[in-house]
Amino acid sequence: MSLLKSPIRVVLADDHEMVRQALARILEESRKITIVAQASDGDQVLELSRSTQPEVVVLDYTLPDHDAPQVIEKLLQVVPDIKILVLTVHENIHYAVRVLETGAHGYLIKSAAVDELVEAIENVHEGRIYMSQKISSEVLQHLRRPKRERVGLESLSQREFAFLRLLGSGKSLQESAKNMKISTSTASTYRSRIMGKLNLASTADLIRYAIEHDVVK
Amino acid sequence: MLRNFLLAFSVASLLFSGLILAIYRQDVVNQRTILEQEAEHVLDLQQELLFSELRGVQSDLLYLATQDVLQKFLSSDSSARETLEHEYENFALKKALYDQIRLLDTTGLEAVRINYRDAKAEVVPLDKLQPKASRYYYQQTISLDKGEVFVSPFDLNEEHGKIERPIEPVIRFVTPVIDESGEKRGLLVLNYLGTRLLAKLKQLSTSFRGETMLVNPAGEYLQAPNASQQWGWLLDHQQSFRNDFPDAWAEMERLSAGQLRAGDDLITFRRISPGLRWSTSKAEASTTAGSQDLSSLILISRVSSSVSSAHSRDLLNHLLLMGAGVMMVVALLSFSWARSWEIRRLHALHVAESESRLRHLSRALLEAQETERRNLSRVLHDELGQLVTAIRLDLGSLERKQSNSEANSLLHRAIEETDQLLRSLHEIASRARPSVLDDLGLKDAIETFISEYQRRTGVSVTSHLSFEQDKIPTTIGENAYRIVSEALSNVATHAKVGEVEVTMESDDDSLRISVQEAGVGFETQDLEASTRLGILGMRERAELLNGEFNLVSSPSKGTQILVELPLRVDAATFSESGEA
Repeated sequence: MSLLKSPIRVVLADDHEMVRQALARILEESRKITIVAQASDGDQVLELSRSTQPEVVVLDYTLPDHDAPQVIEKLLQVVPDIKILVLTVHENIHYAVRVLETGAHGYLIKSAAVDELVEAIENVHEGRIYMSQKISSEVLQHLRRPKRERVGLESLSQREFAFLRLLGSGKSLQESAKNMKISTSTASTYRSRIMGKLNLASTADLIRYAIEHDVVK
Repeated sequence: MLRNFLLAFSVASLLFSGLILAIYRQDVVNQRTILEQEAEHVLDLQQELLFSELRGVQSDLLYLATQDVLQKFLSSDSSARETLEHEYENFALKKALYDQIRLLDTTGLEAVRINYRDAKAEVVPLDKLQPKASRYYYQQTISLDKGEVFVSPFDLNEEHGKIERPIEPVIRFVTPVIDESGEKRGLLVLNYLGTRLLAKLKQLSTSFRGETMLVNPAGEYLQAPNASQQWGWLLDHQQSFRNDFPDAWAEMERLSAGQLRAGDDLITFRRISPGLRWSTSKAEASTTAGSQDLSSLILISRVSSSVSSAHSRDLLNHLLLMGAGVMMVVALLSFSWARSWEIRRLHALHVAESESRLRHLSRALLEAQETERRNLSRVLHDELGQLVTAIRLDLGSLERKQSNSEANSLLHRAIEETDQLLRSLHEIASRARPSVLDDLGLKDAIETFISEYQRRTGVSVTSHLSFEQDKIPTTIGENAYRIVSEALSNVATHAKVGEVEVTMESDDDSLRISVQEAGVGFETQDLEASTRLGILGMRERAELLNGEFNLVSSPSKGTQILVELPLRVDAATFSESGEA
């Protein structure tokens, strides 16, 4: 059995003793994985990872001193080619997205560990991204959610729209600022932001745009 | 308080003092006019008295000069002398006005003489009769024609070349006596007793506030406030009006009547010429100015400034006395005003303090609540949750090892129940405080809430979340989260609508939240609906952060909640709440 591969060297990090032991049991029983160290907080993870140079770190999202994203960033600095699998109790896609964005290689719901943990470790070890089955489709849905790029007037916020309406109706920058109860410098920022969003070059263009698009009442 | 009191009091005092001063000034002017009129009036009365008295004397004289008994006496009827003496004696007794009634012959010798004294008339015997040819009245009168009357200056009676004592002021009235043949036979002389006239004059001025005087053309007192000042030129003392009031006198000598101010005194005077009134046109012509007429009399009234100001001073005293009373009232009013103002101020201060205390308390309460919920959420997730997870993992491991199918199905059920327990735990924890808010931030928390909300309620949410969650401070973030979740819960409970639009956008200044639906809406005047706990809570949260909360709604037109939370001042309010 171990003829094919040597077991994957893993550092297991979870602040909760019982959970950590349960996880350790699952991993040991698989015989594909060997736990080189166990950590109960973020600093320990960093220290042990540096000293033991594991292939994979199984990381609980919530550690007493640091959250996973902070640990991930530092881990990748300390051991750049390390693979990180984040383990959480949160069945929330935002956590998954966040840790993947930060550089983790996998995300696993803790309660599914019995069925998925070994597979997940193998996956990330081989360079793939692993997503817990429970939320994988949802995460993909979220990621392919059309990031509808709002263009033209739609891209303006309500305030920006109101400001454009004032400028379009012939009011000066100062008058418009007074009307909206904002400072002239803020108003000036508004104006340049609107011009940027609408791709306009001058205040005259801006007024023309407002009139042509029926912004002015 | 003292400042307010002084302010009110001094303003009131100033106004009142001004009023008193104005009244006083007006009274001074009025008093001056009144005194001027009074002075003229008393002189009018005295002049009238003088004229009527002297006119009476004149008619008496002219009556005596034309009597039949006198004509009989002149025609040397020896028995007529006694009749004439008797007639004159009776006349003197009846009239009681004349000190002497005398008939002088053309040589100036007394022919008949009646002396009247102490209500007794006495015929002077022939051997006691005196020659009077040297006396001025004889010399002045002997040339007069019939019906003409000479009036002497007012002076004191002399007997045997000496001033009679006690002094007897007299005016002599003289007219020529003409017999039936038209020949001038002598002079009839009446010594008019001036004492009575002077007393009457004095009487007229008793109610007058100044003093009146009678002065002859030389400026000598005939009547003065003090008897010792009178008759100076005859009694050899220096007292005279001329000396006492030289400035006024200099002025008066040029005028026949008038009113003038000499120093502090108001002097009013009339020059009366009793002689002029009855003398012939010839005499009148020769006497052009009153000052030339030695018999003229000058009526004078004098009002000293002390008299004229006495009334005003009295008034002023009254006003000041009243003023003192009023001032006390004003002081009391000012005091009570200042006190009530102070009380009001303290009260307002107190209310403001209570309000800010309440606000602090409210904020502290909300923060404590959040902290509590966060702790609860952590305990549920990290303690209980982990524990149950551990159990779940062990059960899972056990299930794998078990081959006994009966035990396996039991285990499987236990695992499912544990999963159910875990889900409940996390749901309860999230409801207390979503850990995503602390772990990932506002935007992810809102999105999580919305997707959970849609699943739970079936209401479709369109969201525009354009803000940078890193720039939203924790306190604002958690309150914004509560506001949005409360608003959405309201929509699900009350709006009876399938769609709702959530917009959250921020710039450097503020975070603006809008939750809008086209549901049933309600009347914003409807207090019960407007003060629903949820709305109150949202408003309270917004206002604690110095933000604005607006609710726009009308029946069947839906509801929009607009909240604007300032981002810049947050640091200040946050530290403020930290102290509380």
